[in-house]
Amino acid sequence: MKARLIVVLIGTLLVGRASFGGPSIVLGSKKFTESFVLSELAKQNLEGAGFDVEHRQGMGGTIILWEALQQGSIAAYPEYTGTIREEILKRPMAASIGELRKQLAEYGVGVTEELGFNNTYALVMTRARANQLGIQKISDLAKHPELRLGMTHEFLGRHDGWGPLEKRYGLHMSDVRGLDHTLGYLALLNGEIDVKDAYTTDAKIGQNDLIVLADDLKFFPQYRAVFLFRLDTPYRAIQALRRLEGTLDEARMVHLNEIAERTKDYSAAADWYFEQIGQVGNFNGHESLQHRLIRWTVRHLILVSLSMALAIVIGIPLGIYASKEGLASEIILTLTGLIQTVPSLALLALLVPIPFLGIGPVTAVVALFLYGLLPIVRNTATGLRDISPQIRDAASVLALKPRTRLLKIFLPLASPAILAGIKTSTIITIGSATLAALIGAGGLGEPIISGLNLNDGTTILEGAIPAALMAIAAQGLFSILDRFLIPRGLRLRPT
Amino acid sequence: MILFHQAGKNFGNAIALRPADLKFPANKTTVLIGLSGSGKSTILRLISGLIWPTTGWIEINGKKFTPDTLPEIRHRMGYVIQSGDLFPHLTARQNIILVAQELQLGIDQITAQMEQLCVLTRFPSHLLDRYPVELSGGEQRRASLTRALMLKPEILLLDEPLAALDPMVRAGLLLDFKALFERMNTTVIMVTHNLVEAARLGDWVVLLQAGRIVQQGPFADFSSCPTETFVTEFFRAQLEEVLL
Repeated sequence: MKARLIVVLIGTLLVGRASFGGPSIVLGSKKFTESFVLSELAKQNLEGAGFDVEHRQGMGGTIILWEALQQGSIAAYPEYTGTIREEILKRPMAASIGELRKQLAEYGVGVTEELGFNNTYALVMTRARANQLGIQKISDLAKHPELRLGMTHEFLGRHDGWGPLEKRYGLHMSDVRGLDHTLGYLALLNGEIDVKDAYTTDAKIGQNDLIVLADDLKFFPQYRAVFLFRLDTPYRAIQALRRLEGTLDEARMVHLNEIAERTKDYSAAADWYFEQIGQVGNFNGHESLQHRLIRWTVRHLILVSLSMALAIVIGIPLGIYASKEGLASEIILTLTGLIQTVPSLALLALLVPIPFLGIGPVTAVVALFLYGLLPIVRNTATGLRDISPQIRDAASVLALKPRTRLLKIFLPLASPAILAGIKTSTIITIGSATLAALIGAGGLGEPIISGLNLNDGTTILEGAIPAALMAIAAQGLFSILDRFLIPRGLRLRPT
Repeated sequence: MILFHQAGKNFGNAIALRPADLKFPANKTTVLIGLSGSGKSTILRLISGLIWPTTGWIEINGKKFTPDTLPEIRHRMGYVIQSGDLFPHLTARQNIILVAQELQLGIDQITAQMEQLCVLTRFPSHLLDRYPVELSGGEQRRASLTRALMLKPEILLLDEPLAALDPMVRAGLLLDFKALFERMNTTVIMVTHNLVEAARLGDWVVLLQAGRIVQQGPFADFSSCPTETFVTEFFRAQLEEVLL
């Protein structure tokens, strides 16, 4: 029985993986506009060279992308030299790109020449607030420890980020909080925070007339844009990537970012770029809203159904074990409960480095499955425990075989509770599945994350509304299923 | 014939039944009577193998009763537990034939047996396809009894089968039970706290108090020669209840 379960589980994962397979080149990008735009440019160059390209947008931060690259779930993604030194190789001394290239080769990874611009970190403030306090450079912050700082989570954790910067400048800021990059700009403009981290090529800086605080102690390293790629990538594909080398100076990049954010359309930015450098980009047309919605919804449904199928097949037997008194039951219930307390994003990040998982739908399904377990296990266990002593005695004295007792008596009696657990779990999973887009697994989270990045409510709604409708539909579907799956005798009211 | 050889039961420090020698004669009706917590249900649960004695042992039909002999004996035993022992998700018919079906008896044989029993227990056959919630208390008890009798048990255990029924229904069932037990030639052991039931049904009556057997014998002996004052008090209390 157990062996069969494992076979089913592995089978599902393999089939799941196979059915998600496809394009011959997969590009990744980090969770911010510039990274999206760079990968979009690379995508068009590659398509122009005759490759099938999938661009997994906004997969997360450096660690997730680097893992994905090493594991081969993506072939290339845009990176910055400073990040390669500080975060990936952890050798701040490696100076030239040639040296970096030598060290990266040990990981089977190659690096293009510089694309052109330097996008380093910076601290920004609104002009009004900076003038009011007389702040022009980072060391001026020391005089105002009461200022409210909103930093991206990545910046807070980096070797070249907030911690070392604070030490270097001898700052003692009292109010520093972690904020999403795009939401952080909103907070800055609304006056909810005074200072935030930024990239020097952020379109928002020019658009909103923000002040970049001078890095007077020269703390920030150089962040020159390059592409990292796997050395086993086809030579022609590498050549196509390298066509971006030296074509993007700061002004051009700021403008591209600005177009992308204004038009909410990365292909429009790419068109402008190819116009500028006198090449024709690869026009694959702009996908219609209807087509996009169908693609996201179908992917979302696949993610939810696969993870729910796993959660049901594994959750109910676990719940049956957990319904019996004893240590095993305690362990099962505690563990499934514990999984639920891990924040969903952290769970994804924990699963990505595991062999065979990596970036993509398989990991998303595993994470969603783990999340979906608790309500099913708990409700199955409770439903079985709540069966009255009279009924238990009656089943015992009738000398029914254990199998009959479980299948014909106990499980049908617990079926309302079990179904309620599956319903709760499904509705939670429909919501959590929007996070799958963070690791390139697609679904309705894609427009939500893009929308968050672009600070565009309409795009967010393109994902949020279908997800909400799907949850309501699931609720309705289960009410209908109840009528078929809960025995009639349990649904009747006493006469 | 069921014999208790100094069989007793403790739950932790609580004594449910003090070690006792007891005899349940074959093909007779023995009634266990006493207040709640007196140990009468414990005796029934010991005989049915739901629990096992902490001291002494039990003999059924000349053999020691152990978990090994349990499966064989259980199919020769019928048990009607207090109210609510019908499986609520099954119809009366499904409840009644469940075990016979599992033993893969032929459907014709099962149906014939069921129809015959419904006449005996006076369970109306037009109610067979109703669910327990759709049956009255008395009808539920009759269905339970029919289920317990399906495998023609040699031993029939009844735990307060008439409790929580309204008096008219109770009187009707009592008469039917009496007729049934006389016809069936089965060893019946019934638990009740009601003197009338004990008087009407019991060939042999056992009175218990706090896990101890106070007196046993034919019902008449309890008023003619009580062994201790508790016997007299127990009888008087119930009589007063009737008169008031």
